[in-house]
Amino acid sequence: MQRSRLGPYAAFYAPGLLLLLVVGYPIGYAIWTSFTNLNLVRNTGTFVGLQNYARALTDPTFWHAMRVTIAFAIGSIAIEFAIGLGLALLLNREMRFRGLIRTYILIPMFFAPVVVAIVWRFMFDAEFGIVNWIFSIFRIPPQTWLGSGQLALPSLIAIDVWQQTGMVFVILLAGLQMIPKEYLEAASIDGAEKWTLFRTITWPLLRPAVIAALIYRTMFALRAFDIIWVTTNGGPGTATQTLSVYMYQIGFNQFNLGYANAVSLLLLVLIILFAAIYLVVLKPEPA
Amino acid sequence: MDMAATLAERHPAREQAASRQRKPSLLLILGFVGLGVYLVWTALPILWLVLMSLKNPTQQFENPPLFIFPPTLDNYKAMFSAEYQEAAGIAGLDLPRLLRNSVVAGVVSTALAMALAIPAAHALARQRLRIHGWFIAIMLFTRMLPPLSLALPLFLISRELHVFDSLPLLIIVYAAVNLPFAMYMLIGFFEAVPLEIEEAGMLDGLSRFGCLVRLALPLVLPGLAATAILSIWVTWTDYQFALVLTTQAAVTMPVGISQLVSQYSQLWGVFGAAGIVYAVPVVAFCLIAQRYLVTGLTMGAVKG
Repeated sequence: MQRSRLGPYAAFYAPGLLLLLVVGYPIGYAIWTSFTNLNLVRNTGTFVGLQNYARALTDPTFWHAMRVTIAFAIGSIAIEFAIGLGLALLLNREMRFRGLIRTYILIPMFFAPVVVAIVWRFMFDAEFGIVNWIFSIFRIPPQTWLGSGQLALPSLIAIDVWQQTGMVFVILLAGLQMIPKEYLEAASIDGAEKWTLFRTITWPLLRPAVIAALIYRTMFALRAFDIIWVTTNGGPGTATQTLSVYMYQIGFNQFNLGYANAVSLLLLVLIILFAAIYLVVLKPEPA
Repeated sequence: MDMAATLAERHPAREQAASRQRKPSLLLILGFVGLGVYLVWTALPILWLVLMSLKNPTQQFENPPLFIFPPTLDNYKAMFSAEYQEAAGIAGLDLPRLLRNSVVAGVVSTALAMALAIPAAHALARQRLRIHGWFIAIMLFTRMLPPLSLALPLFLISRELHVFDSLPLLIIVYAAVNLPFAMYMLIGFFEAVPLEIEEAGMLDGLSRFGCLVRLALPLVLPGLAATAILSIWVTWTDYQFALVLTTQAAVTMPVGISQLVSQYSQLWGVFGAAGIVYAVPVVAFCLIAQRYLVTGLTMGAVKG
């Protein structure tokens, strides 16, 4: 009888073991090391209690990285949503080449972020980049873009928008397609204005898709690393130093892995916090 | 632009409602202008990557930038032949080997993840097990986990176990990271298979495993393909795990590509060629499987 109770679960032994080994154990290990002063060069690793967390919370660089991370996330997600929603509404109408354009919009998200970011780095180049050349047509003086303290973060946001808007678009489009056409037709025959139509019917029904897209994008924007590391390295100075960049630097430039793990777990808490806020604030209204 | 007209043509019944909108509104015109700008903006970096890969070093740094020039294939040759590599000064970056690493890591880790995910997803879809809640929690957690947060402890552990900088390490890590999401996608596909088919199979004397292999799997093949492509795509585009967990032997393309244009080397043309070679197969795959991928990516999103 023992066997029949465990039998149905046999399919989960191997996957469970793999996850335990490669995700569960390392996370436990990260939590443990975050309470030590583990340093690869000094070869230490003694228990120091909450010292790493106390250090992070009183470290101006940590708070700076936190601000950069949140600014990057808010800036990129806001623009991606504005464009993604516009595109989704437009391409939910019947028009020529609709299928082709929908597919085309998805192309950027299939590229490796590293490749995309380096192409942009070349395009943003102050001397021979095409971005300055395009701006020169409109008589805008050349900028240093990724090399400028003020423009580096917005430039990175532009790269992120280029690559990730398709994702927001496709989730919102799926949401729009799930709205029964009859609702909108009935209301429009009643003579409702377009804006009223959008506000009273489309938006409330689109809400689950909006939450999904927000959580998805926030999760990825808060961990932003690839495109920053291969373009600015967190610079100039610390202008684009996100939490991910900061923890990589502590870990592999200063070899202070105890502290790096503490910062990494704080980032995870931040991501979970954001997801929880969306779920509470934007909870879908009961139908 | 002739939206309203087309609408009315195709659906005469709606003509009345549409007649108010026959003159395209200002908002719609702006929308289409915006769409045009967006399409150009999307094309620009891709076009630029192609042009970079076809330029020689002098053409590369021309100002104003060159759109029309006699193209060269030297950058592509430099990637694959030893003499060109030497001439281009990238002997240290053996791109064919890195490409092979990427292919092996992507394919083997995906095969492993699928082999483990299929029976588990089938069991979750078909039997009322009490671990469903747990599974969703684990799935969400692994999705939210920043790769670096996992890569840091894995770096320490793999060094102690002497498996640091090895392909098997990368393969196992990628498989584990992809596993929960693959299961999540597959559950959806299995649930769409009518229960009756498998019940009939059981009556004919097939075991649960037999039902899975002989009856359910053939029906979810497109879903399997989409899940596998998504998993390969995650692995193929990964930078953070490869950056932290490899240094020499197991380095993959994204890490190698990024080193082509470091402080020490300015091989923009070779970077362009490598970028194209690396992007084309996966972008093509993703576009072919687009319909399933989008269902997969948004399925969880919109349902959950």
